Amino acid sequence: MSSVTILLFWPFIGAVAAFILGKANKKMAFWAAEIVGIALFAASLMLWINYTVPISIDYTWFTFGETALPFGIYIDGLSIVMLLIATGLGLLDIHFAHDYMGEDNDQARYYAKVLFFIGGMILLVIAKDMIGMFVGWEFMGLASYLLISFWHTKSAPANAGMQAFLYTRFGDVFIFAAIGLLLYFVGTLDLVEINTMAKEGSIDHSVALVIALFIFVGAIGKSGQFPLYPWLMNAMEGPTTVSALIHGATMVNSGIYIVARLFDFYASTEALLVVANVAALSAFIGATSALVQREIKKVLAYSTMSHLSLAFVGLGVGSLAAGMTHLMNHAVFKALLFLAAGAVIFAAHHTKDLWRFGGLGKKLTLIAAVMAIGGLSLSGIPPFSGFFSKDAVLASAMVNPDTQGLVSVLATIAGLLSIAYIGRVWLLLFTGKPRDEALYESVKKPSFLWITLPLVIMALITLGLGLYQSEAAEFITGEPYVQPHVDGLLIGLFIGLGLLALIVFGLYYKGLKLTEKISNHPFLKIFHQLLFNGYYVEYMITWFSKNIIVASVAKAATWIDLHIIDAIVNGSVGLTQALFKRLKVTQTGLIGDYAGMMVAGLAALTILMILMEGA
Amino acid sequence: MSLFALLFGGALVSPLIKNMALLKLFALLILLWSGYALSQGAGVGLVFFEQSSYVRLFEAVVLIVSAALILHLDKEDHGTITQLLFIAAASMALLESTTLLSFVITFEAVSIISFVLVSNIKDATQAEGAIKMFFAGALASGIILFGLGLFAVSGHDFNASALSVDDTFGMIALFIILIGIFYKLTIFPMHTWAADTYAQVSHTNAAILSAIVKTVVALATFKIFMPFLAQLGEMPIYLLAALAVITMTLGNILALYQKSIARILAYSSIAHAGYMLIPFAAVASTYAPTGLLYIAVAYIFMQSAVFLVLEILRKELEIKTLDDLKGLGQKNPLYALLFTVQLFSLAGIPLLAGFIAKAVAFYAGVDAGLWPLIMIALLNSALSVGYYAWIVKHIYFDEAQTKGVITGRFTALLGQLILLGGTIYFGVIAADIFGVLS
Repeated sequence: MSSVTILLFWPFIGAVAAFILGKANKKMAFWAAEIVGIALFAASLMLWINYTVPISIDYTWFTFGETALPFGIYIDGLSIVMLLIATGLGLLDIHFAHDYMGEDNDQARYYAKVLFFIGGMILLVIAKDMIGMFVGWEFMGLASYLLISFWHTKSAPANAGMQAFLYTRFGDVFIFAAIGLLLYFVGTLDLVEINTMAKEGSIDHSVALVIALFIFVGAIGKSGQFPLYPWLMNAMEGPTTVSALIHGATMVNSGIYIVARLFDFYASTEALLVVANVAALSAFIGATSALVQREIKKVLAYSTMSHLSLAFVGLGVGSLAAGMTHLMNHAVFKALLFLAAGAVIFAAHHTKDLWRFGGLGKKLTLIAAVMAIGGLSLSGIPPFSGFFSKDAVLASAMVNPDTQGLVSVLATIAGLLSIAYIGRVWLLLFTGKPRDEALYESVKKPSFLWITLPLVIMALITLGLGLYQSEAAEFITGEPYVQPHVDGLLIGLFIGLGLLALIVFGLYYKGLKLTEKISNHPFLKIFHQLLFNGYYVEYMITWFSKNIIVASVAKAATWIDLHIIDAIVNGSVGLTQALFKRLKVTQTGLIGDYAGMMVAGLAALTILMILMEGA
Repeated sequence: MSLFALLFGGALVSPLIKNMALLKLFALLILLWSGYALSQGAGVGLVFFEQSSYVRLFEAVVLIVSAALILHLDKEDHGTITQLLFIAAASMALLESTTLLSFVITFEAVSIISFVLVSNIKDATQAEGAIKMFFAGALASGIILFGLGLFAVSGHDFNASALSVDDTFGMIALFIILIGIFYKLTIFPMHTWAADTYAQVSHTNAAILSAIVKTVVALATFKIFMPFLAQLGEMPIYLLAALAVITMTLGNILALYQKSIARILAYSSIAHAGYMLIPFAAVASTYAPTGLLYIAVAYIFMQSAVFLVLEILRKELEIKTLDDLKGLGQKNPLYALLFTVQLFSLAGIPLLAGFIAKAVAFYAGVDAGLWPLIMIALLNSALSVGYYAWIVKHIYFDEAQTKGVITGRFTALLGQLILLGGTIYFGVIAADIFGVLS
């Protein structure tokens, strides 16, 4: 069986198997998922090791008349990196869930959904055309909804799931429209061909711009960019394993992936500049909001948004290599941070409030250490992987004359602030005195095999990746990699990082009292509230949809639905009932009547036929 | 080895095997062997019979569905296996017939075996259903022979390879034969017996009659009559379209307010006969043969599946009416799901075979310029969701009656899974059927 077949079908077969086996025996669901996870990762590794030229398999779903719907497979360096991320982190995540979800009664459902999700992600990154890509995209959207609202009997996760579904769906509609436009104006859905055509300049410029922007709206929804990000924060209501895999490491990357996949197409229009500007703004919003969150996972969610934006900035300023390496590095260290946070949350009996922790470093030393590695990588400290790609993104932004101004400034601020928010989380979790003694006493060291081991593996990868940045960039882009360089940038960054680190250390290690005073100051409280609520974008969207869309458009549509559509449908009941009564008379149940009808019918039809033929 | 000889021989030998398990195994082996022979290019192999890739695909489907049916059968259905093999043999011949003579003979052969099939009577209701079918069938045979006589009298050759007539007499003769055949297709005005018979004979027999026999006859008739249909003028085509409209509307409306599930399915079968007539009327379109083939393939899977599930439900839980179905989803999720998927396919929900089948057949109608017909067919399709969804509503959204759990034999479940596989496969992969004619 080829690797491609395994990658395409096993997740879905595994999902069904995990569900059925899990219904019989709780533990079996985990093992089914783990085995499939290993197989998928092994298949991705095989593809990587044997990779020489892109694999391209053409398949036509069906041809009907003139319309042909393709369903091809295309695997190049970019796909393989995404595959390794999806299946590798997927496997570690499944492994981690053994304990994390161990007490849950509905494991069959959990693992089935996770495998289904991985299947969607794989389909997305190996699809050759927009059809397969869109199917994978929607599969993930569905899986994300199902997993966020995994604990569907509680109202918060159920609402968060619905919100995620609606926000991302808003973007998906635009992708669907883009597919239609592509089919109509460009005549192909083949992603590779679209790039080639864009390079040759054979796509009408304004059409290309509209399509690129439509696809980017979809990417905004999926990757939590301004203004469609609030769902990502509320998605933290789901299990932490889900947040790590879907809302930290894989699904949220898909928006960036699709822009990267169509990079030549984007580069042929001004859409890249739009990408860069929206992303820089999102990076700033994410980084500043992350500074004041109370819940560990919310900090990480805003930081995810901010770092995804940095990857987008990388693409937007024209450097595919910088954007994608940052995406790759981020996936690993963010999964690490999420799962490390999950380990702490798990050890502390599902407490998420940062202010109830403190001093855990003594009890959870190893977890504190791996989380520090993740945090340093996130902050961009050498030699951790995050340093190289973040530096490359910022340098590329400053080199590009179109983005030297606002984009570079916002992105740099976002890049620097990461040390502040992650440092704050780490200090509040692991240092100082326990702020909740009872909680502190009850914290137990989690199992090494099931909880800490995956974290250690990810920490090692984070360390190791730092050594292979230019190789990774060359593998993804297929071109020689030149590290962008700006004089003085490095020094500036270090000074900035150092200062911020000192401030955070002072505020959250030395002077917690002072911090409290500052945050209670009435004037500063306004800022605190603004940041805490993510710049109130969620409220604005809710207000707009409630007062503008629901109150006017939806009201009008409801009136039409009630008084016209429903009236017709309801009226049809009377009509069909009347017809039913009359037609029923013909079904007497007497064979004599039936025979009579048959003969009479024959006679009538024959006479009609004779009349027609005679005429 | 000739496909016909293989199945016919198997059917002849089968009554000698008394042990049911062995008999089932034997029948499955015969079907498997036939399938292998088919894949090697074997056909009926007689004069006046000819195979094409169009026919071969449907022959394979008939063999698969027959295998699923045999897996479903129970100890009491000993004779049914023999009759099923006979029907399969006759179906192959009917599908491959190339002249009017071989067509009529094999058609009558299928009819006669169908009579034998339903005469396996266990109670008064089944007897009533069987008698009704017999009377109607006898009358239809008479009509067909009358048409044949007229055809001969007007000086035409039974053995001409393409049915082409240029005189009114021959035209009328062929039209009368077609109406006689409509009895098996349950098309207005020859449909009245079907609603009673399908609902009254055992559900397994109803599955064979309404799924296998109907689709085989539809396809074979289309194949033989295509040159004749293509010759028809505008008005006769409108007449066919009118028959299609009447048949589907009548079937759907009569199904809407029934209480008995079997009766709903019987009327839905009549409604589907109306859809099957669309490609006949749309013969001018190049998509018509594909459309009919797709409807036949989709229909043979979903229709036999619903009747077989109903048989299991009736046998184990005494389920006959919609009220009996209440809460099936809670107690028997697996069978509820199997039933629901096939019902959705009948209703034409996307990603199931029934959807693409309707889409292609309707497209053929549009292609042939029969807009009004297709508009009515679409409305009918919407109407039909009314009763399919109504069944599903009873399965999932009503309070459970106290009822047992289906123990179900494994082989019957396997049969269901094969049929489910067909419904899903042809709902997703359309290339097999679209590719057959190109």
